[in-house]
Amino acid sequence: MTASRLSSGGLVDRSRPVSFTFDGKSLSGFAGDTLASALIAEDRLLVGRSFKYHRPRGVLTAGSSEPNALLTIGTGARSEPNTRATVQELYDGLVAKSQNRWPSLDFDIGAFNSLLSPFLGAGFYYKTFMWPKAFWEKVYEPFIRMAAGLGKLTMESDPDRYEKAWAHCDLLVVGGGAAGLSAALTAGRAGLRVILADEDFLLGGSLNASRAAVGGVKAPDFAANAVSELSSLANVTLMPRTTVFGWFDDMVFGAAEKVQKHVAEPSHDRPVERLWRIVAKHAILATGAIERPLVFGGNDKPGILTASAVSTYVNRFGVTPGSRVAVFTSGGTGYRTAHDLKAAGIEVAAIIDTRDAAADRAPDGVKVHYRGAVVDTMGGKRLTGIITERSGFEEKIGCDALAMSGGWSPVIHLACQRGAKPVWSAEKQVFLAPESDPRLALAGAAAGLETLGEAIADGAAKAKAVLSALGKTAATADVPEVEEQDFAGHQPVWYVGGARSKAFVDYQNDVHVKDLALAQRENYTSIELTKRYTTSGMATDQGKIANVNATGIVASMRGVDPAVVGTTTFRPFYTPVSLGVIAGTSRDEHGRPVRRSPLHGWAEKNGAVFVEAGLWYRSSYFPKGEEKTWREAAHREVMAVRKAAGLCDVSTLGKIEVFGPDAAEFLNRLYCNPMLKLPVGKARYGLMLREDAMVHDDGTVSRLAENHFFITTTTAMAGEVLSHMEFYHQAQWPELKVRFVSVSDQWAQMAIAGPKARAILSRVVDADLSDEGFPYLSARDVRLKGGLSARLFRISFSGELAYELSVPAAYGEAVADYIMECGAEHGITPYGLEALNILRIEKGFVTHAELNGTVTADDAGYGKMMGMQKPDFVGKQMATRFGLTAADRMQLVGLKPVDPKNEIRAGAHLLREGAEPSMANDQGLVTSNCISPVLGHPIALALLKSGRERMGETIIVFDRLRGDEFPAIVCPPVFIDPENERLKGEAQVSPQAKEEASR
Amino acid sequence: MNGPFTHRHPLDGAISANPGRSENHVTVLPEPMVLSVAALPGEEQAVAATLGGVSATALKAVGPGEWLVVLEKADLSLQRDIAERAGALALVTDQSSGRAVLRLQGPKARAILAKIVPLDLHPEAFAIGQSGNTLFAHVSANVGRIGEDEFEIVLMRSFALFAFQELMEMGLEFRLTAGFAT
Amino acid sequence: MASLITCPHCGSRPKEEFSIRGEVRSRPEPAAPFETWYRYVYVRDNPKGRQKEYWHHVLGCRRWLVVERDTLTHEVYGVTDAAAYRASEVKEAAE
Repeated sequence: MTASRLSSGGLVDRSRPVSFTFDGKSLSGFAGDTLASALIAEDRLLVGRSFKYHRPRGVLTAGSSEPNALLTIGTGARSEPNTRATVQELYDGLVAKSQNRWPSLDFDIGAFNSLLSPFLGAGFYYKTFMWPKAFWEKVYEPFIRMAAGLGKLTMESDPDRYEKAWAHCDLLVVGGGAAGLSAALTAGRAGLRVILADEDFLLGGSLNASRAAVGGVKAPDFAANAVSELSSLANVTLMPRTTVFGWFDDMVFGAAEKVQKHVAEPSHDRPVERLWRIVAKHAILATGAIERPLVFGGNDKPGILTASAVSTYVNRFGVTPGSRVAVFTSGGTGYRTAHDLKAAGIEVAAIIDTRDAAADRAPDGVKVHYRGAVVDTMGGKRLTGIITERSGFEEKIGCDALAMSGGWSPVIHLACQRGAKPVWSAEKQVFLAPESDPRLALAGAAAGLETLGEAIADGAAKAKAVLSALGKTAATADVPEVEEQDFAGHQPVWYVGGARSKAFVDYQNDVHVKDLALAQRENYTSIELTKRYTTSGMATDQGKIANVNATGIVASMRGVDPAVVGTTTFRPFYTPVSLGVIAGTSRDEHGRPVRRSPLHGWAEKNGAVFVEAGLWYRSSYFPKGEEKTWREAAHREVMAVRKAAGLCDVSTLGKIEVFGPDAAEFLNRLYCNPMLKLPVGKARYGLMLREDAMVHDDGTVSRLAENHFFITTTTAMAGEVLSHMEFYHQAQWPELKVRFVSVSDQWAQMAIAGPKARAILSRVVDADLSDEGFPYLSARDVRLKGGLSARLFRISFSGELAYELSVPAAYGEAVADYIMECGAEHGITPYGLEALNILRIEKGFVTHAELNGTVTADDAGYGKMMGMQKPDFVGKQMATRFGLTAADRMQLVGLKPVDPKNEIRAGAHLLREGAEPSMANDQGLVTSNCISPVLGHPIALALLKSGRERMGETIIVFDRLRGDEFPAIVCPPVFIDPENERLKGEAQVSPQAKEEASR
Repeated sequence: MNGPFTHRHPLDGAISANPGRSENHVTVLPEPMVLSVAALPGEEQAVAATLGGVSATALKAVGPGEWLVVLEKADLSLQRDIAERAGALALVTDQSSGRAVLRLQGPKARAILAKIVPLDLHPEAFAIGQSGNTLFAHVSANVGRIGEDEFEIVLMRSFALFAFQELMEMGLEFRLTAGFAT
Repeated sequence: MASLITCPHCGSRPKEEFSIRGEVRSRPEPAAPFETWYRYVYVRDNPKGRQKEYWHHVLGCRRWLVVERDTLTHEVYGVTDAAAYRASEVKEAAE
């Protein structure tokens, strides 16, 4: 055993063992472990194979920057690939599997890629898989896809719930380490609404891995005390397990909270993850720093970790990655780790220091090699030793782990996500965040500070600045003393010369120094191009480990300052975020709202088949008995309306009340036809245009009183029309004294159509419905028998005698039931959208199938309706422009097939007889079609060039998609009752109905 | 005077008859009165003055010069009074059938609403009597604070079932219950 | 994720509550020359930088707003009710 659990120490709970499996083998750890620390405790350093060369890889870090230890966690539908073992909280029953290996981690066939590595350099794919072209799709890509990639997605549906939520605060502190806790305490004590979020399950950051004394207590205890004080403050919200992944416009931060990612069986009452949108007045990024690896030959063997990771494993988790550990460092950090190891009783093989000399004191008995360099490493699946070189002399040092430190890179990602570029600090040799928004500050290590004491003081100071910006004062300064040995900063060594094997820069994408060199030689010198050519920084870790080293190495190769090279672009997300949490609740039935008509229950009782129309569920048809198809049912419904009566739910129409002394003037400007002189008690068809003279929507306008109108819109355009009216009233004509509100949901509306409609309604409505008492286009408030207030309109979308009745929605179902009861003896039949559509096609009434946004009023046959004598209306100015009045505009026509067996289908194009099918020869298109139950053959509405002049012409209906090509005759778009005789219904109301109506 | 016609609530059938009641609870008003009052341009203040008799928690802000008056049940004399006093200056429409009114009450009311509406509902940011139209799940609703930990949600009838189900789903972790007011 | 617009009537609200119509254009007088109308209907400046836009608070107070903002950085300079904006514009034109 080399890596192991120490006999004591760490913040894990040794009284609570936790069992888990790794590649099928049962292992155990303790509560408080990460999967990585538990694997190290079990001497499992080899955890994966690298992406390209399938090299054995081990845990490199102890945090979210981990490039190597990517595992698949969970089983079945819950299995999640590419999870970083270094941040995965250990739980009982956790199942982990290694990735990118076959058949096993120890014996991986793919490792033969390593032998081919001379051929697999940067740009390999670009250069190799070029020819022949046809091979790309059939051979190369499938092969590459099979070989590449890390974990595999389960194809099963995710069984768990996700949520989204909003949070609001005065101050968001990102990061719960020394600076973050200090900032939160300062702001929280002063009463600010503070949110403190940290990706870790244990708040404290590097305090939890430190042996320093803070305020007279051990650093982890100081952190625990701070957390306990913060949780006692009602104005402070602590959010552990929450990664703030993005800074967006207007101080909105995105964060992903892992609610139940640390349990084997999540409770269904809670989400597994929650997406937070945090609206903050101010934010302090106390996001710490990431330690840079040193880039030297063979720097990727399992057993090589960053120095701070070694310290974290030893101090926080009570595990050691080796029994004899060497240290390779370019600054003081390595010395601190050496002391941590020594304090835990672990042998330190040597310290190899790249510097000429250093003030840092090594632990007693540990030899320091100044001006040293590791040039290669020994061992296969596990480090067994290192080869160092100094002044030409080589030395082999046996060790089973190596702690390396190349200095620190502040985590400035969030501050750079909105376009501002990082700033190179020559003094500190790091990239620092730009100053871009006074509401965002960085504190502690994220601001380039190096010691705990500085971080704590800085957190407090940044919080005080927020307090004063918000006009509050802080309690007196209470920054605790930190007792810690001093360590010097780093002298960056971007690349350790003399490497005898590959020196990796980006571990996850297997990019090594020679790849970067190749990119420079081939002139991909811009760091953005180097990145894309070599894929350095393009893996799921987004180059957290690699990018600054890559910049430093490229700068050295080009002989320029790192400031000249700069960085690649920072974008959300800081760490990978699951698609599940981004979707939140918006999946399955929660994906979009469902709208239900007040007559939904009535339709259900009558056996409706529903269809989604926008957000609405509308009755499509009402099958009866043996009817097997929608068409059988719809044709029966149509014939019932033509011969007796039908009831149709039209509640989904938009309904708007318009009121005020200027109401008539307002409507007169909105509709293209005149509205000023519409009499009280009358309805009129109305056509709204857009400003470019295309038809916007149609509907009815009813005048209920001098200053009071009621208008309807189509179902699809209800929201649009209301917005359109609001736009013209508010943004263009605010001087008009008019006000309008939507009453769409207040009224259930039903059409009662057919020759028996009057007889039926006379039993329901307390009014004289005779032609004299309630002529065509009447619109009035009425009462139903029994007193219910209602509105009645004599309008028709079927060509039959018809009414639309509006009643308060809560009573809609009861009224519809009652009408059905009253109409039973007359054969009243519920009819749905399909029948409605056939009825209107037979009469040539248009819908948005025809009014498709390219159609003018004249194209639709309504040219004469336009009130061109009006001083102004929306669309008037453009209606007469050249192009919209051209003779070859497509105009609404009807079509009948020459052979009645040919069904004309919407979407088909129209061609002259004998013309080649081409765009140039296109004569128009079919917009709506049906088989007319009355006529017994197919009919259609179409838009045809100069259509009104072409009545009787034979034209070819052409649809290559469905293989249609046959002749049809152009005819007027009204197929039945062109004289509108049927609107009157039966000649006279039955004496019985008349008597009832008069009561 | 509704004659023989029975009243139907959009949540009929969605709420069990005997739901139980946890500390976080949704009370659905079976037959609320909802009036929309929208003042003509220039008459906003005059119309506001006519609404003086409506309690702060019953008067919902919709937009400038536009309100909803929401009561537990029909108050015909108030309705008549508003129609008489504001009728010439404002469009007064009865929306009692067109809206569903839910009262969410309990210590976790804010935590539940945080998952549905983007408003800052902190007691200091959203006082009792304050209200506004806002995004509610995917739809628009009026959300107002009517008590210490009590919020009133006014939904469009057609969306009521969907929005109610979203609310209950978000309340799962706090054992949210629902029932009609009795 | 989100961005916020401060509605003069409702306060700070996420952009999901709004729909955007684009550049602010005041409708010409009916008698204005065809060229003026043509520009009003079809031509947009589409600047990279500062622009006044119509935003409709469609899920909130349903008021049209004039939002002056930078199309590149989304910095918002001011939000006014469109009716008030139009009224002041008419007043300015008269003076």
